Amino acid sequence: MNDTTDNNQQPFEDAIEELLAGELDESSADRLKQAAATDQELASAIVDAWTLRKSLDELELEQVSPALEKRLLDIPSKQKTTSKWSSWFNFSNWQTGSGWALSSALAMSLILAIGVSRQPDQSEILQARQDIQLALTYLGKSLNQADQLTRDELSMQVHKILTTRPDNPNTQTDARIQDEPERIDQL
Amino acid sequence: MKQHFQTMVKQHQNRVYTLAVYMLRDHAEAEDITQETYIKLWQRLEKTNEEVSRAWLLQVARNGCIDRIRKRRRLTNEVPEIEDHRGPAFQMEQDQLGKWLKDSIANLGEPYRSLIVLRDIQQYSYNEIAEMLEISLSQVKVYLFRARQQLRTKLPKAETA
Repeated sequence: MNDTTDNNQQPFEDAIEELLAGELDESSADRLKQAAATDQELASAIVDAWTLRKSLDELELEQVSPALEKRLLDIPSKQKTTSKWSSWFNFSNWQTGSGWALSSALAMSLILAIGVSRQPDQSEILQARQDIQLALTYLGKSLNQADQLTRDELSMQVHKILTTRPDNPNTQTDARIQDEPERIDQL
Repeated sequence: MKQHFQTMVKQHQNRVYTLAVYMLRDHAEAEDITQETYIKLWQRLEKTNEEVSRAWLLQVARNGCIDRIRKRRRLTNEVPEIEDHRGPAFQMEQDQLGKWLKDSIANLGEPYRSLIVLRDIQQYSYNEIAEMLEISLSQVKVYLFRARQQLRTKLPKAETA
């Protein structure tokens, strides 16, 4: 773009704009009007500028719909809700003690859920035993790292799951797990 | 902070939306941009708790519009036609010159289109526009001159007679 050419035209343009805005001083306005009387191009430019100015003045701001306005006003509450949920899934939080505790609890839940769904075969029982051992190792780490409240809650939950559920099919499975190695030894 | 945010919504939502409508020529997309702009405002308020100027709002909205226009061009490789689903200000106009003018503004390139909308429709000062568009005061004047010149050359001759 050639700014030099535009700058040469601009005082002329500025004067027209100031005239239309009523900001041009009286003597300058008179000079411009006198020049326009003999300069057809200038007169035409003033008329065009006036037409454009008048049309632009008539344009109104677009109005947002009530639905959009409501969405905008609701942004603070919506954003807070999103951040609360997203914080649960924020991986960086999982490096802390509570993250360890949560991961261990999830691993334990998964193992128990598998046990609840059906009776396992021999290889699955062995795998489950290894998984439980692994989960308990993680749990041990969790207990060391989690705060007191989390520790208490986890201890209670694990105690409840492993020892105080007489109607849980896993209780029978646990008994079989204890029995199976003996039978293998006998064979 | 929430109250401050809602005041900002009430005060400037129509200006942000108008800029987006003129730039994108699509009310649905203009609504998206307006919402995205205010989400960014909220996130900024949460982080800094600072006053955010209306210039900042319009700058963010404009940048969002430019991104969308670029995406459109990448997809279609051509200048999009003017959308049919226009808002109340478009639909209610009686004056043919007004319609022509809106279409002409929409067809201006950047930064001319933003300058006409910000200066001639939204009545911002040269200084505010310079801040919003991150250009100098003299550039604002030069570009505005060019934008008006482009519009004037397209003025229907019947109207100037």
